[in-house]
Amino acid sequence: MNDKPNDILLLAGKLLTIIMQFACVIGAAVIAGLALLAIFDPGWITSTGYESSLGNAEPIIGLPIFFLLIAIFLGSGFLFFRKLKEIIDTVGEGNPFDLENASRLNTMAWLLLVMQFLVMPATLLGTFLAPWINAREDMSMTIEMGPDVEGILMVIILFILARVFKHGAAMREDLEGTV
Amino acid sequence: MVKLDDILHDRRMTLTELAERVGLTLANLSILKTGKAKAIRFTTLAAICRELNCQPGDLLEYQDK
Repeated sequence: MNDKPNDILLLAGKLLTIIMQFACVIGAAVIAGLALLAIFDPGWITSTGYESSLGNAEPIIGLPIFFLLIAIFLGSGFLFFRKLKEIIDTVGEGNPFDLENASRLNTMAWLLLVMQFLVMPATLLGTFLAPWINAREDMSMTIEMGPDVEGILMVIILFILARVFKHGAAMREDLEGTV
Repeated sequence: MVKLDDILHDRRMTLTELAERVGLTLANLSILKTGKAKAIRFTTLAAICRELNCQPGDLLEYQDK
């Protein structure tokens, strides 16, 4: 079997995980910037033509919570792709079947589950903030509702893969010392 | 317990030579010789017996620890 295509695959995988981690960091920086803007220039929140019946409660209460949810989402995403890169590294070393990778896959499954659970409250907050955002010219938002079947399927697949790798690690350990 | 040393001595064969003949690495054969192997394949056992002209019982002995 020609290993070259596999090397390109691993390289592409590593590159993608690095790009995604970078995207999460950029996203977090944007959220941090917006949060600082809201803190140091409160006029930014109220400087819209939006007439709030809740005394601008939408941005004042909704935005910090929304930022927090996004920050947790991005943090989870960063960790997810970091774990994936670590797994890809072990594949490149020719030693993927160990308990560390089983643990990494398990962690990835939990992180993805957390991200799935964050989507619903974030979406609800989005609808809460929608009138305020719509009143702004410098912002726009698209809300998608509905269960993310692919995401849930991915969570299940990752948990199962973690078990597969755990068995693989045990079998590999049995094989060591066999002549 | 693996009695490879005795038989190799009787046959005037080195471990390296035996490794080459049976198609095993010297490292793996050393693992077998020093008793650190957890398991041995039948194909490996058959190859060693073929090269050393012996029976499995000549190579392996059970000792109650």
